[in-house]
Order: sequence, then structure tokens, then C-alpha cells
Amino acid sequence: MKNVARLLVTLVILLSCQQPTAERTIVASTSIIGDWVSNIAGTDWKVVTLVGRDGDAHTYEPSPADVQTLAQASLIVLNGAGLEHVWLHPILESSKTQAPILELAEHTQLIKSEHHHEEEIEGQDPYEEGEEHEEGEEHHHGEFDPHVWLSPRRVRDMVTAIMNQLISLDPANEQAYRQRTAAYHQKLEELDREITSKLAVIPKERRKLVLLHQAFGYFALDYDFEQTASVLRSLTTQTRDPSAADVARLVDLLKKEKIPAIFDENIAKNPVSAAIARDAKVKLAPPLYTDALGQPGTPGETYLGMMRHNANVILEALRP
Amino acid sequence: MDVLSFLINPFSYPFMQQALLTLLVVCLTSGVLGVFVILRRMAFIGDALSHTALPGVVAAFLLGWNLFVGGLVAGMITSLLISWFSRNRVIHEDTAIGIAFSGMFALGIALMSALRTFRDLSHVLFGNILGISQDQFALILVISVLVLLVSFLLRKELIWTSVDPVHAATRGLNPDSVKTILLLLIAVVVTIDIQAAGVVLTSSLLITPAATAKLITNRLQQLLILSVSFGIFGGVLGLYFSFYLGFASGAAIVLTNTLIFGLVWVIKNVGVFFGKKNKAKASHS
Repeated sequence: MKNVARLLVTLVILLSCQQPTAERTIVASTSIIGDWVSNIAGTDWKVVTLVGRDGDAHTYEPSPADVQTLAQASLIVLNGAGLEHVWLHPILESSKTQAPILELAEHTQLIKSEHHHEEEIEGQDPYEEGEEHEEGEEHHHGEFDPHVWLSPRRVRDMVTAIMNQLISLDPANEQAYRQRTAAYHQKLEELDREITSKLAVIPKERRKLVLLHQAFGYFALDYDFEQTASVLRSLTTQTRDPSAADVARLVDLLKKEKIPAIFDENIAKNPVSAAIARDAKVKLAPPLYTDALGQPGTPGETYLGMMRHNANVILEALRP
Repeated sequence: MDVLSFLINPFSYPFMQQALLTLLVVCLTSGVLGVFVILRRMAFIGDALSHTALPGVVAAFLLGWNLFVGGLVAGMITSLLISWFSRNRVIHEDTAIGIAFSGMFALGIALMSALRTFRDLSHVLFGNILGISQDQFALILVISVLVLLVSFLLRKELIWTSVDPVHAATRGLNPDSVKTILLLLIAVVVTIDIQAAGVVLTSSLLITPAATAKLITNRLQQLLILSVSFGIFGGVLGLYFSFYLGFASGAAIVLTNTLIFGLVWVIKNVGVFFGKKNKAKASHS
């Protein structure tokens, strides 16, 4: 009995010794959110992202190490609006994390999924995947378009939300957080102006975007584009491959709407995109960065870089 | 819409023409090889070899190589392993297949977990004949021609060792070498089939049309012709289903093949039931 008690005491000491060595860690669900958090938090915090660069947040397969990461986090920042729910919810539960959870989508204006309904391909419901998930969630899968980060104009409020959360956790450094946020806000505004002016040369009838999945809804709304269709006909990549009927319908639509190009994505590829482009005789444009940053050394290394690159790719593909 | 345009319309799209062309080549090769697979009662091997292509495909994906080549290498390694393990008959072929099959598939899954997302590999699992590029088709064509050429040159060896192994041995044929060659050929064909039906459904392309043919005849030449015909008929019909009913193409093709098998089986058995002559015949076979 005494031995058991001693063992227990030793264990408790060992376990408690681990606590102080753990840095103050912020866990971000995606690489893009991780980039914003790093910009605001500075070097005092360690920022860990779950879905890596070029990774797909719709279909991520979490590892046991991710549960550990969540358990030790001081703050968890996620996108919300159903983006990570399917895989993140179970591991949040099992990690029993005590950390506050910041859902960025709650701090910006979301588009309802229904918004796109008039624009979808006839007879197809791009949101059918989402609607199968459980009801009653606040922002359950499928109710809103989660891809808010793809419009820099909406990122401003989300960055402010990160700042407020950091200040409440670490009031001593409030000044530093405010300064970094102001600096990043300025960069976002420059980015916004740059995208608007760069894409101004594309005439109205060519401002049409077709990607692998419906990722550019917010971008289209804020920069006056139309997201005409998508190869997977879905807000998420977590969906079935298109059937022959779907491919044929899309080829017809691209011809009818005189769409100049379709875009690959950095997070997922599908050989059907190339076949559709070939058949409709449109360009298959280089990949846009959609749901994740690119590798270090690529233009998509940072959020600002990835959006500049996207604007360039769109300009090249759609300008007359 | 009249019947003719109903039949022709889908193939006014170049992607459907490409899919059709690919299917014809794939079904021709699988139909021929399938007959030998059926005759040797090696149906399990098609399934095993398609699953063992997985680690090769995933490894190729991770290394940025051609997925097709990765699958091919893995399939060929497995077929060599299977014939090597079962060479001295201590371990039976089906046991060797079972071991290699689950081992390689597990390796594939383990490699996949390094990727953390299955999205890019879903067309490897379920097939995507609608996205075949011209380069891929050229590769499929060249490999199919090679497979058919080798099968034609070795036809006597393949037939004898399949139909009558004892006779083959007296003729001085080494059944093990022939078996190894056949396994390699199947590995190659399966890798082609994966393009059309994916890892999970591929064995159906190899086996089902040949099995349907076997319901009708036991003569080798007719078997080969019927097997290829059923394969092509089912494949084309499946493409129509995918086009008009919106089914995923791989599943539509495999389901159509299965339906044809079921239909022929029913017709045959109803015939047997009513015709006493045939009944006596059938009980012998």
C-alpha cells in the first residue's frame, strides 16, 4: 500500500512537472488561421495548426497527436460554419480540453448556403452533403458557406476577434496585440485595394469562376464575380465524384455561359476537371489556393501572398 | 427523343468517347485474362491484386510519381511474392494470396495515414473512367497490346496448364513458371482496370464477364469471345446508366456486369428446370 502511494505521488509529480515545460500554445484548425494568429500573437505564443499546408480541411483525418495538441492548448481558434465540424468535434470531446474556443465565422457575416441556389446547375443540389448532417447545431454543416477567409474584406473582423481573445487571455500585452492587429489590418486593406484594381480589367461577362468545389462564394460576392458552378457541385470536397451526367451537364453549362476557364485547387485534384476543360474547350487554369496555404517558398506561403497569387491567376485566366 | 439519338447523344461528348474507347480496350484485355482466371479458380487473385496495388499508388502519390506505375510495381511484386511463397506447396496459393493481399493493403492504408486526407485518392479507390487523359489512354493501349501479345504467344502453355495440369506436366511444361507469368499478366491488367473501376471494384471487370460466359459454354474459344463481349456490353450499358441516371461510372459498370450475370444465370436455370435434357447435362458440369 505504501509503495502504491509512493508510486502515485511520483506519478503526480512527474505529470505536474510536464505542465510548466509546455509552452503557451494556440491551436489553429487551418494553416490560414494559423498565419493570422501568428501575425497577431507575435513570438510569445507557439502556434500549432492541425490541417497542414496544402491540406484539405473538409476531409482531414486527425491523428492521436492532434488530440494531445488540443488537450495542451491555451486557446483553440477555428473557422466554424461547419468547415471542421465532422472531424474536429469528436477529437475536441475526447481531448477534454479546457481551452477557450474561438469560432471566427461567428465574428463575420456569413452567406447562407441557399444563397447560391439560383446559380447551381439544374437538378443538382450542391448542398446535399451538408444537409445530411445532424440538425440543431448552431452553425451546422451546410447551413452557411464556410469559406469566409477567401474574401480579405471579411478577414478584418476575424483578425479583430483573435486580438480581443488574446487580450482577454494576456491583458499585460494588450498594447502589442493592438499594434500588430492595426498593422495587419492595414495590410489587408492594401490587399483588398490591390485585388479590386488588378481585376478591374476583366469585363463583366468574363467575371465567372468555376473551381473544383464552391469555395469562392465570398470572394465572388465581394469582388463582383459570379461563381457559376463547380466540378464537384458542392461546398465541400467531401462528396462523391461527378457521374457522366454531371460532367456532361457541366460541359454544356461552360459552353452556354461562355466561361473562359476552370480552376484547379491546391488542396485537392480531380482528373475530371481536366476532362471537362478539354471537352468544353476552355483553359484549365493553374491551381488557386483555396482552403490552405501553400508550402514555404511558394507564393502561397502566407495568407497575403496566397490571395495576391490568386488574383494574378484569375487575372491571367479571365482577362480578354 | 427517338431511340437512335438516345443511344448516340451521350457519345457526342469527347469525354464519353474517351471513356468508351478506354472501356473497349480494358474489357478486351480483362475478358481474355478473366477466362484463365476463372478456369484456374483464381477469382480471388483479381481482388487481391487490385487491393495490393494500393500501397504502390499511395507511395507514388507521396513521391510525385505516376500513380499507374506505382500500382503496377506493387501488383507485380505481390504476384511474384505469391508464386514464390506457394512454390513448394507447403503453403497453398490461396493462403499466400490471403497473406500478401492483407499485408499489402494494410501497408497502403498505413501510407495513406501519412497523407491525412483520402480525397485525392478517392478515384484510385472508386475509379474514374470519365477523367482518363489521352496520355493515360495511350499507356493503357500499349500495355493492353503487350498483355494480349504475351497471352497469344503463350496460349498453348496457358490453356494446357489451366485445363489439364497433369497433361501439361507430361508435355514438359513447368506449371509454376506459367503460373508466375499469368500472375504478372493479371497484375498488369488489374492496374489498367483500376483506372476504370477503382481498387475496390476492379476484380469484377476481370471475373464477372468471364463467369457469365462460363454459364453458357465450356469451349475455350467461345468462352473468350463471350467473355469479351459480355464485358464490353456491360461496360457500355453501365456508361449509359451513369449518363442517364447519374450513377458513379465505376459502380454503374460493375452493377451492370453483375446484373447480366444474374440474368444469364436465371435464364439458364429456368431453361434447365423446363428442359429435362439440359437438366441431365447441367448436373454433370
